[in-house]
Amino acid sequence: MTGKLPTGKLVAVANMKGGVGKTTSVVMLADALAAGGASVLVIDLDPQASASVCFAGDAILAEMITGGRTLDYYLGLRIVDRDKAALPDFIRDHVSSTTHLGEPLPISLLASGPSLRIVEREIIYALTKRKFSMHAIEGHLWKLFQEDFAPLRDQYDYVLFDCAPGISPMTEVAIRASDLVVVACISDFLSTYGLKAFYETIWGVGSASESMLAPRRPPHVLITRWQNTKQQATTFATLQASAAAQDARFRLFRTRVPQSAALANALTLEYQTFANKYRDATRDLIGEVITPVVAELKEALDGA
Amino acid sequence: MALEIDGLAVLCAIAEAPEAFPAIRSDVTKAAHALVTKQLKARSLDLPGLRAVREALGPQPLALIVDGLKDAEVKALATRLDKHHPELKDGPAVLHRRHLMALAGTLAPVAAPAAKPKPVNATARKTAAKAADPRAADPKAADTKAADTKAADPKAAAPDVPVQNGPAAKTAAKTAAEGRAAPAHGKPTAGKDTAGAPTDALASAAMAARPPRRPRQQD
Repeated sequence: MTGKLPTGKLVAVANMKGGVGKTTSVVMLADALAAGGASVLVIDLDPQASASVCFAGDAILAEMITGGRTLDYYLGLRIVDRDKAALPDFIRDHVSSTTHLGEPLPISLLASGPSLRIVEREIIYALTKRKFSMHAIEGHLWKLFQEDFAPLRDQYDYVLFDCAPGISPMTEVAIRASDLVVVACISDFLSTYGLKAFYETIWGVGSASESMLAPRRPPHVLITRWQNTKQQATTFATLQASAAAQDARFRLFRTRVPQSAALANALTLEYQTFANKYRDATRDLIGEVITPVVAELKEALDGA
Repeated sequence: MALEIDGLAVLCAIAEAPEAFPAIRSDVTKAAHALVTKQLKARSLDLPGLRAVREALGPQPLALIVDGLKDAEVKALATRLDKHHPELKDGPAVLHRRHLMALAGTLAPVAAPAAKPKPVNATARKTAAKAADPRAADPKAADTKAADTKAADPKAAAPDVPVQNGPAAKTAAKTAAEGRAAPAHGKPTAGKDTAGAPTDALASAAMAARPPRRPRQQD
């Protein structure tokens, strides 16, 4: 068990490419960190609301949407309408139905809904109407993030952002402002090709501006859906060599997350203990994968 | 000359010199899990036995292993060790785990209810009734009586119809009350992989939900 950290950490799980296991990684990390005794907040930045439905379930998420208790509603109030709204009021605590040692995992959720896509467009439209330049819009979102989101680190040990694929404006701010960006990536040609584009967009030369800083650390690539095929092994070896190079532009988690039915099933809402949720008949998923990934995450946050 | 290793001595030796056994590090965890799980599932395990396991391992390792047992296994063990507890039979899985761990600590099981007064000897009562009631001699009349009793008890009246008050129904009611989606069933039975799947793959309350209009929202 870990004690309360002096200040919480902001971790963005991202990739421009979809279907690489971002939400699976967020759920796994949130569960594992919470099972280790940390308080965890998951912020869903994806209009598909995958992380939201994984933690809250369809019915509660519907209630949150109709009750105006989602990220998109909050952003609409704060940026588009310039109304007052306190972000903690939009967070739902104790959303996890998973237990560990007899207690529910301490996971909270700032959910999103399908309207996030529309609200993000509304934000651009409203700010453009107020004669904001593109840089000024970025700066406005950055300021909002620093004022409203960053202070959440005082209430939670870890704040995990499940980023939308394609990088929306809000996602980009979260990526740039987080303490660590975990890039979920399949070890195959297309995913690593997408990784190059993602790197150039966020960390590349000239990608930062006066209004938005570059992320404080290089991206940490987490291989997901690992299958021991020749192609995946070759790609992984290339990634390893690049990450070990002197001028390496990214770091690589040593542990690879395997393609696992248990991880896919972990996205359901069924009541389970943490031990049973991540039970995999073919491997010791908790001991050989989840525990080392969490240890590497903490190592990266503390030292890198 | 020894004919077999002393398993306990070998396990102790492995534990004392793990650096000599690097290749089996993860197997040790699996083996430890398997050994304790087998002990917990043993039919002979009684309450002092459970407490001895806790004493030997410590509360947290035992709790971790109990977390890894199936819900049904935990329920079976908890109800076997605390037969008369009124809430265990229908309680949720989390209650069974908590209760089992409490029993492994210091919690005493619920005492058996006081013995009911011995009913009057059934044969003697039957003979007396027979003498008093001429209908009892007629088997058809006896059937009618049985039917009356069944009518008064709906459970008895329709024994083949599953009564919707079992644990599953309670869980469903609880999840419905909490606004959660009903949990999926456990492992699918062979050949019934699609049992319990929703009829409409696109059905979702959340995706159909619309946020309220913001006070100052413009069209």
